[in-house]
Amino acid sequence: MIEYDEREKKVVLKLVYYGPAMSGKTTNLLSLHDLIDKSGRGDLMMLDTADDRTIYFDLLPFFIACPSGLKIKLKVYTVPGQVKHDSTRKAVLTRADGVAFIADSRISEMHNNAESFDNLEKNLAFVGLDIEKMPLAIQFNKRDLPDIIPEDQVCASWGGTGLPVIMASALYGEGVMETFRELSGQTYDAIDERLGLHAAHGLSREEFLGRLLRPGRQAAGN
Amino acid sequence: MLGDLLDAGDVTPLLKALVAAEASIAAITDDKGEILWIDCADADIGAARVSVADYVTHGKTAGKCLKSAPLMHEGEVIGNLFICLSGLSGTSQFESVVPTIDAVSAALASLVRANSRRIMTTEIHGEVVNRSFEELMESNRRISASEKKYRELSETLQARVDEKTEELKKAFTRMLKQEKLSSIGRLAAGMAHEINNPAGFISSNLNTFSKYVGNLGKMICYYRSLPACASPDTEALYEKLKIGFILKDTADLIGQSAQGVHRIKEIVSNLKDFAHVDDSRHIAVDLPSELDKALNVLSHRIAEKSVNVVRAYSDVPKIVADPADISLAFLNILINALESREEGLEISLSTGLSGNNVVVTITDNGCGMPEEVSSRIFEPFFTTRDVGRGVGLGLTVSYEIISAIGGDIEVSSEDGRGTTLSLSFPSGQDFK
Repeated sequence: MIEYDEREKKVVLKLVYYGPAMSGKTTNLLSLHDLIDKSGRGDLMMLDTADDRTIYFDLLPFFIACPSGLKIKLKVYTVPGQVKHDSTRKAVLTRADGVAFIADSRISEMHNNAESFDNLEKNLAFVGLDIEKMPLAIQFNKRDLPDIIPEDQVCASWGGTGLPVIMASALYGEGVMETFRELSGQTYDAIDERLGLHAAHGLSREEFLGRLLRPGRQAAGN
Repeated sequence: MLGDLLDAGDVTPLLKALVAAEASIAAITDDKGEILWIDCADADIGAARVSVADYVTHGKTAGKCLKSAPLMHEGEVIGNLFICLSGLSGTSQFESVVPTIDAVSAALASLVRANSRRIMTTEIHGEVVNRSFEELMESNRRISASEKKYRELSETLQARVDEKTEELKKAFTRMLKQEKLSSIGRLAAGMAHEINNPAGFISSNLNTFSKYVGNLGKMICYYRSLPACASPDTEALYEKLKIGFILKDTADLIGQSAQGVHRIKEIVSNLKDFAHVDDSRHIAVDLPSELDKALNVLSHRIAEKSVNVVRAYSDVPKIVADPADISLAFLNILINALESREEGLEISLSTGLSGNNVVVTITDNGCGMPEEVSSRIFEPFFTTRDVGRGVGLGLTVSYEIISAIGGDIEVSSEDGRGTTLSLSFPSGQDFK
């Protein structure tokens, strides 16, 4: 559902961080915000109105201009994981170009993960998107905690789906960039196919990812 | 885009503040260099616009010292803030206003952020509300639809209950009829068998007895004629015992008895005919002869009341039906006709064709009936007779029988003048 304004020469892409409540979606965005240089991105906008929790999501925007003059705006959203905020999830998921599913690695959370993934499949279908064609990355977050599902077991159960699975600890910035890189890469492939980013606009995959994921000065110094 | 994110009410005071802080021109352009808002120290806004446009195009303005600061939103430059210091040409003068410019830039950035946050919140909120509204409307539609269904159901419920009740009544009637028919059949078959045997030997014995008595009479006459037997005593006894009368009357008695036995045989045969004990079901039925059989069964009552029966049969094709059923249908109608008048009753029977149907009309000159009765005569258990004199099934059974083979009964009756029932039967043939 790439939103392309030909007159303005502008593409707006929407990536959504989906997952059960408290699985670390906002922490992922906070980490990205800290790790990525501010030259290519905007500020993290957190919309959590204390009195009205139905409107509750975060937004981290990115901006890239192609050599051709084509402007690419990439907006990364989180959705509220709580079951009752399904309407907001549907609204945020509308016209999404890619989804990162953030799962909670703790054994106790497996049921919530499965339920949330079912909800994702259902809501994608509801807003008219095909999960088979959607850029999709799976992140198993909170690897730093005890009582988590072993990695080989995660790989065994997700290996059959062919979906990329990334182990992460968003609180410590681990796996966050990898997840974003995976999702952005898949998204690039999708728009490259549609709009010819490389051929027509002179923006290669490496350049796209390089500019999107440019490390901040602080991170680079480490 | 910047025009959507900021509004004049917020921007104008900031530009005025810059002008107050020594700027000769303060302006904001969008990402394409279009001037959105401008303010200046002197009254010549037109000249100020030209200066800014010049700077946007060429990066400098002759004789003026302008500076610009980009306005960022979501990592993208969405516009510029322009400052022109009056009469100054050196950069050093800018140093003094840098804090003011920074403060205004920061204020604009925070306005942009707040507004875009508000716009986005409103958009998502609107979408959520719209979607909830659509979902509510959808569920409302579903509820309305099911409510409509229930309302229709409740409206048709009475009709459907009536329909079912009617069906049940009919089924019950059929059941009763079949039960009645089969008991009549069994009874008739049993009676025919039981009565035929004794009637047979009575008839044959009477024959023999008649010969014996004849012989005895001849013998007596022979003895009387012998001179040896002729004596006054003998004659006196002959007269006293009325032997002459006995000999004559015996033949009459035997003849009458034989006639009685013959009648018994006839009645049994009529009953067998009527119940069609021997017939298989659904054969070709001749309606006039079935009418006659029903009349035969009722013959004693017809004779009792001196009913004048008028037959006007014309040639009609046979219809396919169960003859026992047809007889029963006629019988029930004829019983009603017989009850319609005590004296001077006339019953007219006719057969004929109407279209493809064979029509039988049975007319009496009896008491007739009012409309409210004639409209109900085929209803089960509807009767005008006293309790115990009739169950109200006779005409129901007739109607059931005739409608079961695709026929119909029409009633026309005038209170006090008589009744006509027209029975039409599909002939199964096309006469057109």
